[in-house]
Amino acid sequence: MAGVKISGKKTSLPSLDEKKWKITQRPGGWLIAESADGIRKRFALDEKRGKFSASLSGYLWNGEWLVEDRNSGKAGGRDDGDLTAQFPGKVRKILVRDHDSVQEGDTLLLIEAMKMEFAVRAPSTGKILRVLVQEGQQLLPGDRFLEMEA
Amino acid sequence: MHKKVLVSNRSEIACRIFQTCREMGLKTVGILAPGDEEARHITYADEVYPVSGYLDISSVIEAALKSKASLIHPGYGFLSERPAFARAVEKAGITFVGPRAETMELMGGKIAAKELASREGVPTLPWAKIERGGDILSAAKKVGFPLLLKASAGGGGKGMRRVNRVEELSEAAESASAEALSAFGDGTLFLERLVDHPRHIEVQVFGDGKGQGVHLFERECSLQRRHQKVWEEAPAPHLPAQTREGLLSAALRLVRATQYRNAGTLEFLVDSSGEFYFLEMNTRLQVEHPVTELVTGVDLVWAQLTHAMSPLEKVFSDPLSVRGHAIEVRLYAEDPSQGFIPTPGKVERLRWPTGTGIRVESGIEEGQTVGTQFDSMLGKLIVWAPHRKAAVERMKFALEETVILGLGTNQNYLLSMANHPSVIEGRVDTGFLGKEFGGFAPVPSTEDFELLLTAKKQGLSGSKLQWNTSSTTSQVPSPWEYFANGRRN
Repeated sequence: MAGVKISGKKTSLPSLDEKKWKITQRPGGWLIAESADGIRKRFALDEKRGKFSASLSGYLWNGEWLVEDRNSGKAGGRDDGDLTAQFPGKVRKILVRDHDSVQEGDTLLLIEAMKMEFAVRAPSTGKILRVLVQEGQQLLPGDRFLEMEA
Repeated sequence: MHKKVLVSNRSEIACRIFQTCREMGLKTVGILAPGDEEARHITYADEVYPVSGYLDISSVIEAALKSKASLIHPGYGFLSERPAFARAVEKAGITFVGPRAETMELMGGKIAAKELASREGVPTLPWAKIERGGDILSAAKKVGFPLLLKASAGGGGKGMRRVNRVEELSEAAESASAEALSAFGDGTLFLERLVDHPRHIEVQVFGDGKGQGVHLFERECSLQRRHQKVWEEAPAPHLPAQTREGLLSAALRLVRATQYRNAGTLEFLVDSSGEFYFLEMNTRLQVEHPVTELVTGVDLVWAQLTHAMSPLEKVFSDPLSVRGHAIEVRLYAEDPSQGFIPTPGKVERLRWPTGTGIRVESGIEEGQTVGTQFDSMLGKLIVWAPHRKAAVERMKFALEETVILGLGTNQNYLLSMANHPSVIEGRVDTGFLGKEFGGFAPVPSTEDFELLLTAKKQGLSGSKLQWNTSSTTSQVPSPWEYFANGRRN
């Protein structure tokens, strides 16, 4: 396991002492973790196909485990999820062109979906290689908006 | 004699209306639009009829006639404020649980509503219509900056844009008009002066249709994100008595002037000096009605149905008063730390909080897939406590005990709000969430990460954690082994 993404953001993992917490299951799907120095914590966890959902300290979290990409040697995972449609919608406006340089967070395009407008932002600083969609185009989940290099 | 109600809505609100119907001895009819087969209201309705869509008036009326329902309750959203629907219902010989179509027309056009308010001596914000092909620039200069572009035909934040300077005007107008056209089929906009740091305070009313009515006090809904309410409460905290009296009496004047029938809400903005301005009237039951129900002890759906069934009877015979404090939050399948993108998915695990002073209005069941075709509200948590501080603590407890796994939710955001000093103090305005939670990007604590990783390494993360099966992935022996061996693990 190379790392983890929480709410779409890559986060570094702390080093783990595997013996620190003793975990037991409780009815109702709860897990109780107890440490040697007497801390007792209740939490819940669900995982499916590398994606997890958890209740930790009362807060709900969603993320995914990243696996080593053996070919490139970098932590992979679904990075391209940043630049593909997550839900059906329509491209209302494209704000960049091929070969534009962008900063992380720059608005790349505006999507209209469920009667609201969403901005797709650059996941990192880099250059737009190729815009793959057109204004007015209907999008399906999984459609890629554009290609860029960091 | 009325025996059956068709609820022309879905999910959480349909189920909530079903409860009161059943308590009143009325049979419940639910409608099912294609794509909504897993929805909760389909499970709980006494009878289900298919419709081609929740907005298809003739299809809904046909279902009502087939079912022989004598009442239709529209809930909120969908057809609840469509005059054509109210008319079609009455024409079909069915009682519409709500105001008259004429009132919807009068108060539904925001411009006409403002004009009526002015005639009744109710203050409104400087505003201007934008005529087709008219000069938006001169209208804007008349209203003054900062201003808000608003859709004439609807609300919920759609078609709204803030404009601080004249340079921003034309792009904002283009964007707002496009969004309004898509949401309401009408891209007409009007301009309204923006009050800085306003509080959104609304008054619940109930009219007898003949000019008399009552108010059920006010609600505060200032915690909004892009004009969509997230956290609502009753009563409004730290509201000057004079402002409250002014709001309540203005609301009653408008009930009288419109001869309002059944339940409705008047929305106002209150500025930092306590001055209030009428915004609009919602001629329906609102999402946040439970907070009013909890502080007044009144079942508003009961009041709506009672009046609809016996219009000459007085619904409220006892004087109404406020006791304690109630707060509601809305849970959505969206991720606030990723620009509020929708996070559809399957509800792998669902656990709602229970306990004293906790009320849940659920729109989902465990095992259901939540998509993007319909509204992504998963449910509402409402709490009541004897005073506000206790209500905030209770909301924290309720949120912490809300477990929805398998899809993204805004629970983390809501719990962070409940822990914010300004929210705890009850001193917020409508700009607060955008400002304070603009860059919301929480990360679990080191300790929480340790729990996550340890559980993962021990193979304890899975969608089925069963207590009484000897699961090979579990580290804990099943109870049968435990007792058989007589040893402690």
